[in-house]
Amino acid sequence: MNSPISPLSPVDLQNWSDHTRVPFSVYTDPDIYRLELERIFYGPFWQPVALVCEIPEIGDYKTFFIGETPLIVTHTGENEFHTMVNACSHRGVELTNEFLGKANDFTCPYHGWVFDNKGECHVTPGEERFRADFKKSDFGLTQLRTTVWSQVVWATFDPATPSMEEFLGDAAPALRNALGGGERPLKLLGYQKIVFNCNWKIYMDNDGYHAGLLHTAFRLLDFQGGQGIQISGGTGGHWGIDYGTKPYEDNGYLNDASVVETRNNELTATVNLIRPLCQSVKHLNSINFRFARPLGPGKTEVHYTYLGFVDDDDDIAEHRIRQSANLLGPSGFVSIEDSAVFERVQKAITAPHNTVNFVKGLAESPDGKRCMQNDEAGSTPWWNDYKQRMGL
Amino acid sequence: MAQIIDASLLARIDNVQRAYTHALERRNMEGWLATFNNPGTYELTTQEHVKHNLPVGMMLDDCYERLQDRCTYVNEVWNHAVEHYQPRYQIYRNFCEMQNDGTIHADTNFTVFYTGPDGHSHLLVVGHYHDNIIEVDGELRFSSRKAILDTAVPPRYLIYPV
Ligand code: FES
Ligand SMILES: [Fe+2]
Repeated sequence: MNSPISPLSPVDLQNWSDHTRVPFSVYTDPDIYRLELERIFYGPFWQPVALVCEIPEIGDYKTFFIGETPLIVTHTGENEFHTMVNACSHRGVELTNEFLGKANDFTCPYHGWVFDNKGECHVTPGEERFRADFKKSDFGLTQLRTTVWSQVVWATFDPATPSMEEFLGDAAPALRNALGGGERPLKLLGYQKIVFNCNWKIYMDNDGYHAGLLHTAFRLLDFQGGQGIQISGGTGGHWGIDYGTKPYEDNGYLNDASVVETRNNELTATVNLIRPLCQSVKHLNSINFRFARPLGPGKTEVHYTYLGFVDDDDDIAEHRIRQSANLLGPSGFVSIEDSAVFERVQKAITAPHNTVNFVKGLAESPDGKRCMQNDEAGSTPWWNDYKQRMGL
Repeated sequence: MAQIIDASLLARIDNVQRAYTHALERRNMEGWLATFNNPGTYELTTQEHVKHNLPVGMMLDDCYERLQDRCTYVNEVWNHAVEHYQPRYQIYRNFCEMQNDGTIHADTNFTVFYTGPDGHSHLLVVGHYHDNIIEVDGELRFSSRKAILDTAVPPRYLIYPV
């Protein structure tokens, strides 16, 4: 692939050799960010755009983004979904600004063109005076390849993106387990949406792997999660940890320990990073899928999306709600330090001739494909892939 | 249900509202807790959640024990790790109604600005409170406070309740 490096690029980028030592400018340079949109966000990656339970009925839709591109995701038939660019094919106007809605068609507010929810154009007022070769059928909305895997709707711009199985590879089982095994119908419980003032790769580098290290709450509760293995796989360096938890034994620190209680002996616990920009966590009885998008090189918007199951009984349904709201979000009892770390890394990475260094675990796992839960080696398959993909 | 027009009662309602925001502005979590009755509840959610009837919002302290634990979160668990900010509140009373059972229902707008450690100030969130207020031992307290944000996506992570 062509190298984006020019004599005007930051010197650190011109000299980047070791993929485990990432120059700060990779996280801050605006040209790098533009190239990431092209080669990564609009490149050969499946990216989650909706959960089936967000748009459960035929006719439901959701708006979201891949990279900086606004999308409409529609539920159009039995297990059939469409993803299209939320821009009128006439002059580029945004067709809807509802986050979640219901519609069989979308009428452009500008000149009244009408599109059905599969993106076909049906009405073009004043067509008799359009150019002679005008055909409505040439003016459907731009479609993305769309697939459903484990109750998640994924889309990609790139015809070369491999199948979901190949894309996720060995990272698939932990993600499937996070979502209840993939078959039991999920139910949408709510969102915690937030902007982190950090580059999207800082958000991905600094979450998931460090549970026992960073989080004070676990220490105060004398409650450490299990010891899992980070398993990296697929194309682009996704990873998952399927670690399982022990039930919490109340040490009296909290007045209401239900926030860390595991009910129904549901001990499955997994953390997943799906490249380029998605995380999913199942911990205790809280199920959390995080959509995200970059807002330029210095900000990342994340939608923590909380889930239960349609067949949950009243007790566990209520418990999931109460636990999800306070446990693992951007202001969560055990997780707020993540938010703090993301922003504090961002503030400091403007220095020249400095690198972010992935060191822990590389002694036993030089390729980072199998390493311990708290190791840094697990991020290195991604950085190896990134460096090549970006031509750096 | 009747609109409250009695000036002294309105002044007492305003006082509990101010006690709440003033405690948060001083990061005085005990002062925040003291504005709630026991039992009492606090919820922070958004207009988007209300519209789509989604129960998991930003914070859910649906019993007094959770209100107490929230003080512990801010004072002990998170204190060393987070970047504290200085919140500043502007509140505006929309209406107050006396319910048939003698409790007060109040609706109050809020705007919260914050100043970070770098000294730069920004808008944090905008929204309104739905409150139920009761009188206990001659004092007004929240029996339930629901803060509903218009802001679906705050510009930084929230540490303190709103
Ligand atoms: S821009 Fe949409 S109809 Fe003209
Ligand atoms: Fe974390």
